[in-house]
Amino acid sequence: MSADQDLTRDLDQIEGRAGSMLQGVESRAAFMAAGFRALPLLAAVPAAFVLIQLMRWAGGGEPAILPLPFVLLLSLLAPGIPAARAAAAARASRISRARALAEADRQLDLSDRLVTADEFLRHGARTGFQQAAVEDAARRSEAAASSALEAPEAAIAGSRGLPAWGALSLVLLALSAWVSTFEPRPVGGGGLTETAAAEAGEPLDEEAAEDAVTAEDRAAPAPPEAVPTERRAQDPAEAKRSESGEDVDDSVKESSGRTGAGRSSGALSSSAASESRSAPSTQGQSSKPAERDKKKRESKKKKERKTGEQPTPERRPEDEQSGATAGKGSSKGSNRNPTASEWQSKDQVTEVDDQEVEDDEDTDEDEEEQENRGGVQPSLRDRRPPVSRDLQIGFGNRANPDANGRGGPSEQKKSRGVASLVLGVPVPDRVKGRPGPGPTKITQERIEPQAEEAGALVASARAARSRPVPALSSVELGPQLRELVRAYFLARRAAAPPAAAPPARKPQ
Amino acid sequence: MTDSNADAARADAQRFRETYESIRAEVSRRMVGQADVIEGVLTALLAGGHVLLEGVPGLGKTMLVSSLGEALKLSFSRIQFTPDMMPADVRGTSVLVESEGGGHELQFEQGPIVANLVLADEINRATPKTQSALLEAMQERQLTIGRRTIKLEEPFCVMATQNPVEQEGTYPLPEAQLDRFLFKLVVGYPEEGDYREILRRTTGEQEVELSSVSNADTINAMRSTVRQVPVPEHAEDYAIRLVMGTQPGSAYAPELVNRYVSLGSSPRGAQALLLGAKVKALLAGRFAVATEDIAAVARPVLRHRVLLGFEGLSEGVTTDQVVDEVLAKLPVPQEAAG
Repeated sequence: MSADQDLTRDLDQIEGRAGSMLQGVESRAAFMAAGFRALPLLAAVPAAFVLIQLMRWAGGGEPAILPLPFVLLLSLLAPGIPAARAAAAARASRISRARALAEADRQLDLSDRLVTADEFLRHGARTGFQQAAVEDAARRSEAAASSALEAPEAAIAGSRGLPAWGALSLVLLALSAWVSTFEPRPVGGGGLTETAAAEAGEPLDEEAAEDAVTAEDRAAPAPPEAVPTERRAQDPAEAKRSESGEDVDDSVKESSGRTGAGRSSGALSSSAASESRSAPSTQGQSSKPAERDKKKRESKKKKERKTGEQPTPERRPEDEQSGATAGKGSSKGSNRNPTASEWQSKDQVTEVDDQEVEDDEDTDEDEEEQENRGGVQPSLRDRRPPVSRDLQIGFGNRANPDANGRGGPSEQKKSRGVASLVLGVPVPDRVKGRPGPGPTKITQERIEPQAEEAGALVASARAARSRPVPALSSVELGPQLRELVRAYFLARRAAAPPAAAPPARKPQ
Repeated sequence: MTDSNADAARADAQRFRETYESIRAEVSRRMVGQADVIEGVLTALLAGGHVLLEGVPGLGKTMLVSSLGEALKLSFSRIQFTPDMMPADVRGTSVLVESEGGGHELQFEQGPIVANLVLADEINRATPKTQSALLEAMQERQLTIGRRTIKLEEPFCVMATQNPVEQEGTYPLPEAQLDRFLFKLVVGYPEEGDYREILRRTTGEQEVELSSVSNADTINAMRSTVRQVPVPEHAEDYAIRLVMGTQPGSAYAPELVNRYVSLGSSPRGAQALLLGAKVKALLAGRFAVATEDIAAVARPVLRHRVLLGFEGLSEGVTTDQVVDEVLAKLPVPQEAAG
């Protein structure tokens, strides 16, 4: 334990020294950084002072209000105060023990031994390696406690501005000193004028005449002949203002609204917003069949709500992907068959609303889908009894006037499954026949191949594409092509002006 | 008790350094130069990981691994990967043999992967299917073939080589496979002064015979010693932030990473950093990991775990540059804490 106490004492000493050193460094850095940030004040104070002097002199007062050394002191205090505050705040902040010990490790090249030992000392039970690490640090801590630590240099931004602002401040101080030497401007009337005249040695009459002329100029209005009405309209306003004691110049009244400075920016912003809305979005224009179905279902629901009926049960996705359908999309499930004849099968249950083709778009899409499948698809959504598949093609000589070989009123064949892939081939769903192999007939025919002259293929020029290029599938590049592409881009970049490249370090 | 533990730790560390130095010296009798590569291979072996060696042909990658096998007296096998190789060629398969009495029976023949040191030569020439045969062995240290599970004898280390020049018929290792390698070492050309020695040793009459300076038990003991090295909190934080610095969008990622990297390192990278840093700490004569140990192994650990995006590839940015940038911009945790 005594070894641990000795080590702890050494670490405390190192922490104190390193911490105070770091605190001093941070304080200095904060002072310099805040000072450099406040450098513009170095020139702002003399500039303000010069302005005040000029205003006083223009108003006829004494331009020299404060002695120059005092102005200089104020100029130095202006950036100095925030710098001092920052330095004080940095002094007040505490440097952590880990940071102080890490700094000592770094400067004394101890490879984190002190920080590690400090952490392991806080452990109650230490492993063999932890104890070995603590003892290893203890052997070096005594020497470290007495070693000097150098204050690291902190890079402070903004120091380049000091000469410029300092020079500007000196120039302004010189200007202030020069303005201080100005004689006060004589102002018209009274003893002041006589005094000024007596000092200046000018004749009084001329000054008095000049003053009278300037006073007459100020007093007499100068209305232009072109706008006499405006003057009359403004006279009552002027009268009111004069009653209230305001002194408004005519030029100020006339200048309102010409530059449009008072115009609100709302109009501009709204125009920008409208411009941003002008570009239409091209996304979602080619909707998928599932999305089209969803839209149709929603529109149909809306219609049903209008008529006040119960909405039809929504089709589940499994129904759309049943084996009955041979492609993407889904069957529409309505009995609205645009090609149906007026004749209605007695087996079918129809309702009046089914015959109403309200949505031409849906009907057209129905037609297209059904044609692609080779026939009307069974409706699973309406929950009606299935269409009779009995073909009733007739028996023997008895003809069935209702028979068309297709089990329904419509001319289109109703089919499902693989048969729907075969277009226009009448395939009966059920054929009544007799069991038995039946007679076998074998016919052999010898046919000699006949040569045909093949027509020459004439190459023709391919016309330019008329439609936009669709999405192309990505092609897997082989290693050589990848290397080629990579070399191409590297060469292009090498030819271009060099951009900021990441720093290259020596290999380990 | 604490002192005796500390003495044992010091003794273990001393033995570790001595054995390491003897192995390195023995291997260097045949290998000329490439000191960094030899150190990296030994570090990965003692940390319990696998190594991926990348370099053009003729730089001694195969000779290095075979020399290591001779010096360590470990069972050594070499697998030359070809595009037509099947997983059974690597792991083993059941073959029909004639049994006593005239019958036939299936007998399992284990593949070349059942060894201590496995040299997987030109691993990127095999198909991904065959490469995946190594996945379980490298991670779990076992093979499962049908209903048979074979535990691979420790120390088990796969040292794979691959040619950096992409050629026709190669299959780049997938990220899951690359993540299994602790280190990726780049074998470069030898120095000018090493050429003469290389020619003398390889074209002369006498061939260098290596003697075994260690064995499997010693290597296992050294691995156990490595595992005992403690990692202080500030070093752990540093390793974690270093790995997070390679992940685009994280708080510690510099601008270069956000712009050019598409996929950063996984937490396996942090594990590899600590294991490699422990070996470095022992070799430096210390008993705990320091941040400089982690920085020393950052490149071999992270260079194959960082995937560049297309912009990075087109700008010619390398993963080594990315790792260096993260190291430069990442403050030491003590300094960051204030």
